[in-house]
Formats: sequence, structure tokens, C-alpha cells
Amino acid sequence: MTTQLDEDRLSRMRSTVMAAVETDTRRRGRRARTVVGVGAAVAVLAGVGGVGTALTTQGGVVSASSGDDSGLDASSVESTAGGSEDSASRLSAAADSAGGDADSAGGDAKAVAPEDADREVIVTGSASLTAKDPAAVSARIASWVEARQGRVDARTTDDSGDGVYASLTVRVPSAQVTATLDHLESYGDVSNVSVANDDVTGVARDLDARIKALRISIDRLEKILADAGSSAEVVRAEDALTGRQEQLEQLQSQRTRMSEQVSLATLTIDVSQTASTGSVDPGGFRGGLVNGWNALVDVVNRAVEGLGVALPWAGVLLAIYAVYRGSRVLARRRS
Amino acid sequence: MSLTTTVEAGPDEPVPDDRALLQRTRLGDRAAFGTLYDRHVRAVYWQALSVVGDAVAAEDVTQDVFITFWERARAVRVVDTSVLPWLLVTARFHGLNAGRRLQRDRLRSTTLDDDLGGHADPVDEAVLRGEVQAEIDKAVATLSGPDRRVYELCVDGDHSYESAARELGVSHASVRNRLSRVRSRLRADLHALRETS
Repeated sequence: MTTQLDEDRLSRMRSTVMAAVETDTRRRGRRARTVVGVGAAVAVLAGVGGVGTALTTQGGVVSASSGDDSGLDASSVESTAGGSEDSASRLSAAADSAGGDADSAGGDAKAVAPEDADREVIVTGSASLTAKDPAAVSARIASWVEARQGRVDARTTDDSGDGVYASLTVRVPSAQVTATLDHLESYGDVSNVSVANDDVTGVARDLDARIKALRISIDRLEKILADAGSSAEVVRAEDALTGRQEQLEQLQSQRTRMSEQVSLATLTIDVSQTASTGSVDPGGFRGGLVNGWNALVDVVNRAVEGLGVALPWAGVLLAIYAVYRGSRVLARRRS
Repeated sequence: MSLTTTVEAGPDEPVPDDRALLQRTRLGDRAAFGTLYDRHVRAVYWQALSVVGDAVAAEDVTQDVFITFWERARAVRVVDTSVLPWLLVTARFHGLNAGRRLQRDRLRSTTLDDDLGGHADPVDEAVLRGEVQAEIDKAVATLSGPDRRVYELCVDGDHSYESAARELGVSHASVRNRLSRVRSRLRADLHALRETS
């Protein structure tokens, strides 16, 4: 048992504790977010269900193409719901609800720490769109991003399967994420948008504090080294110094990586090709005939499918009934 | 002198006391929690070390205590001005559990031939134990009267922190009220006396 309690161990313990505190805060925020998210999801499902049933009564191919529109509406409702989730979660994370209930989001914003203005947030997002020429769209997105002080981390185009498929990973300044996502709408039909914000301010501050502490410690050690008397002292100070310098470099590179991720958000965009087969509007009587025929085929298909689903169940029920009747007959014959 | 920085109070604000920091911690202010941590981590560590006897286990206990403090901040009752009594009592409690676990593991993993423990020179260890206890006593001495009383009740009298704090809190508050009532009555009487003379 030693009584040594140096700064190393103290700062190690501190980061462990702070990391656990971070996780706990995030968990509380997540709980509030899921409550709000579930509510929003239920509302969206109800809306989409209503729209879907209204549309499918029109029958046939027409419902397929307008189904895309309802999909777009649903996704924009979802992304706005996602946006309000985020702000609600930030409020509730700041106001700490012990039970994790979302109504504490009305809590005291004044009680939040004063340095709320410069929080460090890592933003990641993804979007899917369909366009007639994915390769060209992908090139245009890349040049647009590069013109806005972003950069393209990866870009692939795949022509092997049916249809062309392109995907990009771009880095844009975090402030321009929304502008970028909105701009994507000009290239094609955006069907899926999601954005996630990861607040790493606590971890970043902790790293900064540890870096500062290490710097002070290194300065002290260098001074000790300069004033060192015996060679044993020199050796010990050297050892400690190199150890600290290694640690400092490690922490600094961690911090730089984190700052880089905070300043540039990461967006994954994938572009697929719009199906160009026969779903474009066939007008007039011919069109109506085609629609009607397709609707009929569709209904017949579904009926046959339903029959197929029901058949095994019917078989099982029949078997049980047969056993039951058989046992009754046997019992009657015996008595 | 602590080298780890916390977000300090502004240049003209006085150092906030434990009560205010606890209130902010309850609302989720991590900087306030960090200040409380830096203020009390050493005392908690010495307390854990004195109970557990092993430096690594003492570190784990210290971390546990502070994480528990964060999670159950609402349930922490401050008697007078400091959260240190709660921290020390919790450290002792966690330390005793950890110590028991360590003993069990040690007994399970040794055979009859092994030397149990591998203790250092007993005189050495007694000196170290004395030093650790001195550190703890130093920290306890900085507490105000009621706070120290809570700590002593829990450590010597084997009360739970909640019951001791409740008793002392109630009696402390009633004493405070009575004192302030007496003071205001005295002031009024003195005033009346001055007027009549």
C-alpha cells in the first residue's frame, strides 16, 4: 500500500468518471428522445397509413408512382420530427430528467452551463436519392461540395447490376449540412434523410484539460532536468519526460482528429437510378385499360397469395378437428 | 495543488459552495460536478485506501463513489455546507464491499501452500496506514461542526447516512431557526431599550 497519489492517476480516474457521466447524460437524452420519437413515429405511421389506403383504392400503376410522393412527404415529416427530437433532447439533456420523462424538457434553460454557445458536435448524416443519371449526379454533387470548402472522401459508381448506382462520402462544414441536404433535392427525388448529432464537448474539454496539464508537467520536468544534480536524477527526469511527451502527442493527435470531425460533418449520399420501365403515365383509354388490367392481376395475385398463406393453417386445423372427432367416435364406440 | 482544470467561476465570483454546486449537478451541469470532484477526490481516495488497503482497488472505489454521486445527486442530502460527509461514508461503504470481494477472491485463488497476501514489512505498513489516516483526519477537520458530526455518527455509530443526516438536518435546522429567532428578539429588545433610555 503506497501513499503515492500523483496527477497521472488523478487525471486517469477523472476521465473514467467523466466518460461514465457522459454516457449517463446521453442515455438520459436518448430516453427522452425515444419517448418523443415514438410519439412522432406513431403519428407518422398513422398519416402514412391513411394516405396509403386512400391511394391504393385508385388501383394499379398509378398508385405506385404516387406512392413515391407519399414516401417523400413521410420522409420530410420524419426529418422535421427528427429535428424537433434533437432540440427537445438538447433541452432535456441540459435540464436533466431523473426519470427520463420528456415533459422535463420544459426545464430551466438558464441552469445550463454558460459555455453553451460553443459546444463541439460531430454531425453525421445520410441521404438517398433517385435520378435518371446517377453517375452524372454524383459528379455534380462532388464538384458542388468542393466549391463550398468541403471535400469528397470517397466516390464509387457501380454499373454492373441492373441500373446504375453511385455513392459518395462527402465532408462539408458542419454549418452547411442543412443547406447541402436541401440542395440535393435539385438533383433528383430524395427519399431518405437522416442526420445525427453527437455532442462530444465533454470529451473534448477533458482532452484539452489533460493536454494542458501534461504541458505544465512537461515544463516542470524540463526545469527539473535543467537543474538536476546527480546523474540518477537526470535519468529519472528523462524517463518521466519522454513518457509524458509520448502521452501528450497521443492526446494531441486524438484532439486534432476530434476537432477535424467536428468542423467537417460527414455525409453519405447514395444515388440510384429511377426505374424507367412503363411506369410513366399512359394517358387516355389505353392507359385506363392498362391500369384496370394491372389492378385486376394485382388483386388476383394477392388472392392466390392469401390462399397459399391460409392453406397450411387450414390443414393444421383440419388435422386437429379430425383427431377430436376421432377420439369422440372411439369413446362412443367403447361405451 | 490540482493540475486538472475545471471550468472556474468568473473572475469576480466567489468560489461557489458545495450546496450550490450540488444543485447545479442535479440539473446536469457537468462543470459543477467536475469542481466538486476536484475538491474532494483526494479525501475520498484516502478513505477508500484506508478501508481497502490496495491502491488499484481504491482507485476503482473512488471512481464508483463519484459515478454514484452523479447518478443519485438528487438523493444526496447536505446537512450544513459540504457533500464530503456523504462522499466519505459512501466511500467507506463501497470500500468495505470491495474489500470483502477482494478477500473472497484472494482466498479462492490461493492454495494451502501459497503465502496469503505477501504483506510488506508490518512496521512499514503501520506507518503508511498512519499517514493515510492523517490525510483523512485533515479532510474531516475542514468540515463544519454538523457535517463532522454526521460523518462521525456514520463511521463510529454505524448509522446510515440518510438517517444520520435526517436527524441532524432536522435538529440543525431547528437550532438554526431558534438561534435566528432569539437573535431577532434580542435585537428588538435592545432597540426598545435604547429608545426608552
